[in-house]
Amino acid sequence: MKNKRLEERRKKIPKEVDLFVKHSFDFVDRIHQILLYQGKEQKDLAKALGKSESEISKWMSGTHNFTFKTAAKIEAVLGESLLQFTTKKVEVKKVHLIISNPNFKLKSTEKYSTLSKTMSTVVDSCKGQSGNYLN
Amino acid sequence: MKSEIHIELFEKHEKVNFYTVRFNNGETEVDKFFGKFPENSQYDEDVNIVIKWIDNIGERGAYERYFRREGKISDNVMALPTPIETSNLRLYVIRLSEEIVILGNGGVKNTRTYNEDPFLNQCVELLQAVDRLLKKSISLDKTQLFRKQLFGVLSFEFKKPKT
Repeated sequence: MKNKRLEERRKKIPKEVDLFVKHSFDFVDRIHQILLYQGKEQKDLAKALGKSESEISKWMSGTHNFTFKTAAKIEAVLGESLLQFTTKKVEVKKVHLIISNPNFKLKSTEKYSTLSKTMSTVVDSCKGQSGNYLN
Repeated sequence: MKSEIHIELFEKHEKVNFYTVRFNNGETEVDKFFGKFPENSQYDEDVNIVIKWIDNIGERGAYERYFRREGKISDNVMALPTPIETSNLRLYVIRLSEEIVILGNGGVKNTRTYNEDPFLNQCVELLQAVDRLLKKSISLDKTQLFRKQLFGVLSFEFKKPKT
């Protein structure tokens, strides 16, 4: 059961706000998990960082805008990783291009242009295919 | 002046039920809050963060660390979210348990403490009074908490604080 007015607003919330709040919660939950595992409390983290307990308490609420510098400091004092970055290659989606003009040919001079590179990829991906695909 | 207040369900989430407070037959407290900041107001981003905060709490659980204590040590009145970068928008709530939160009203805090702002002070005092009434009713077993739900007496006679 959800409130109608809020549901209407939820539809218009930018993705960046959604991700900001989610990542913020994930981040403080991770800190909390490490503190728990190490048998420490927020006051121990405050002491290690030279901050007040009330400031750490504000951070842990889930909407603090952490900088990389602060994140690095926390990682350093906790001795545990808080952030994980992906090194996965970005996948390039293959596009099948249908050329309606049967006489269409790429000029050899275009071979190294950005357009030709894209077109060459298309040609490679369509090799061996018949019909209207470029051969 | 005596009024009647009703505690009613506002939204059900996976791990938390959000309730709110209604005076007599008027608008609920949380509806008043969102009504004050319509779409395309200067507080759009903050309101969006508050909504996403509700969603994340609903999904994860209403752990005490996510809230900022605003009332007295003896009550369960909290504020959300804590100071965010763009403004000092506050929504006051009662955190009854990890599974039950009562949403109240709030606004932009331009003073050092909520007590210095008559309106915000009234929002907090109202929730403090609701918290007292609920605690008493729970102790007398007239109101019961079971997991995400409140049962039994959820309407109370109430003396509205002066504005």
